[in-house]
Amino acid sequence: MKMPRFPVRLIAVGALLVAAATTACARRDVPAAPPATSEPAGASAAAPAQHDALDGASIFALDVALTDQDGRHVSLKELGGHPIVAAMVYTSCTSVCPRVTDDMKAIEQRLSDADRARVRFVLFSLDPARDTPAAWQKFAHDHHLDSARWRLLTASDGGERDLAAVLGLKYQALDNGDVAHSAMIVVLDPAGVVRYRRTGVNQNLDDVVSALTSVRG
Amino acid sequence: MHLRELARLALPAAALVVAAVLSAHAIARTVDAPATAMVRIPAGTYLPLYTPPPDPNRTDTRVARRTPTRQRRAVAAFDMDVYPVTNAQYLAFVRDHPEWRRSRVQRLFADDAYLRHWRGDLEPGDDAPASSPVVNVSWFAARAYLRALGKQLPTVDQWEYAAAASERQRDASRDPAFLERLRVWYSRPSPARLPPVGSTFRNAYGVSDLHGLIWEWTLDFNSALVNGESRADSDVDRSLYCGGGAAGASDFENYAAFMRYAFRSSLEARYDVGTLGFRGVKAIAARSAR
Repeated sequence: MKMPRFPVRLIAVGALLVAAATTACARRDVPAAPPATSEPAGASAAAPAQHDALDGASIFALDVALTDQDGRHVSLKELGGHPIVAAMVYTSCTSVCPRVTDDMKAIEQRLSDADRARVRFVLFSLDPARDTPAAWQKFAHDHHLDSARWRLLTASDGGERDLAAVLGLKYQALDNGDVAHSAMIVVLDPAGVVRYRRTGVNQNLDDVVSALTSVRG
Repeated sequence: MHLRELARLALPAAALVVAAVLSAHAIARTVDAPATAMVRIPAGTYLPLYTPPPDPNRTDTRVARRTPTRQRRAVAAFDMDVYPVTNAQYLAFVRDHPEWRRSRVQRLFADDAYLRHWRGDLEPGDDAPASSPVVNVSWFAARAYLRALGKQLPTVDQWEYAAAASERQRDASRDPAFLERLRVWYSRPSPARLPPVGSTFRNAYGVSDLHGLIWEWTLDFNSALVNGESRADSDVDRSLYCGGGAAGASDFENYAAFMRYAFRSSLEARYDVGTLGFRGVKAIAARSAR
């Protein structure tokens, strides 16, 4: 199978997909086979697929207008100076979002008093039309979120699309009003650099906690 | 005599000037035409390779997820660029927007392969001919370019809907001959130096180069393969290939669509790829859409 010039990291997924399509989905954890034909390494410079640290780039470079649960206008930069645990959810979500929030609360509980005092917990809305300050207030109340540490933010002008892009979250608004999305928790350092990304819920949280405590602010 | 000599000198000079102006016009036309040329894509429906399950956030619908129902999706009318954005057009953009020059772009918005085939910040060079599509541009860069023109990236729905057309049929997604042509294109390695825009076929809507020249960014490239199920997020969604594989031979034959979905799913917004460019679309006012 010959293919157009791709970096290896990209072609591997395609090869995996096509291979899986032809093998009747027997397994999930198929190792990504090397492409049958790969171009010379110089075809395209490519960071490895697992390279998540954005080359040390701060997400604070993103210019996105945010409103918090108290109706205050906030920029991303204003979140700086603290290690951050962040996720993208929406308040009317009934399945994965509450679990992501619960995981973040569990992380909050597991931190030492000193760490808990310096860490901030940030939820970005995937449903800006409905996640008004009032909706976030109710969400905070229902989930017993401490407003001293939790910022619940809704972007203006489609900024959630850029936020999802810099955080690496996949999502899709569905016709029924729901938003399908990755269950992802991201750890950022005080400069806004992504230090750790984790997808999935109901897992051991040790990795996130250790990523967080290793981030010095 | 004096006058005649003057005329003898002046006439060729004038002819030269006229010729220069004419050719400059011609050049401007060939370079400018793609910048502004858009065609109306009328409203319609298309059958996506993949339809998300009714409630993909639920974690207990494994059976449902394995047999997603594929439904035709409605697409509203929109205007689409006839050609992908060229190196010449992108050069004009980085002249006006220094923050998008190769040496200045922020790493958050483009990885270190950004415009790597250009000779310099403002010099595309031999590997990036003026009328060839610009590649090695990130999703952020593509959006910034189009925003400056009042355009945006097509959604996956818009792109796939427009790209289902062959030269004669608006929906050729079940035409074995068309699919075979796409398969052959997709299996052919890209040349080191990309051909100019307009060098592949113009489809029934009047859009050129949707297949066979480059891959193209979509606004919601990161929307396919979503999966709320624990641990499955970072992988290709099972229900995509299971659904595809189970949906019948005619769908499986659409190898090109599989490749596009797989390719998109492997991208991140800051990646720059040597075969990946973009084109713009414009929403149209409700009144004129009718």
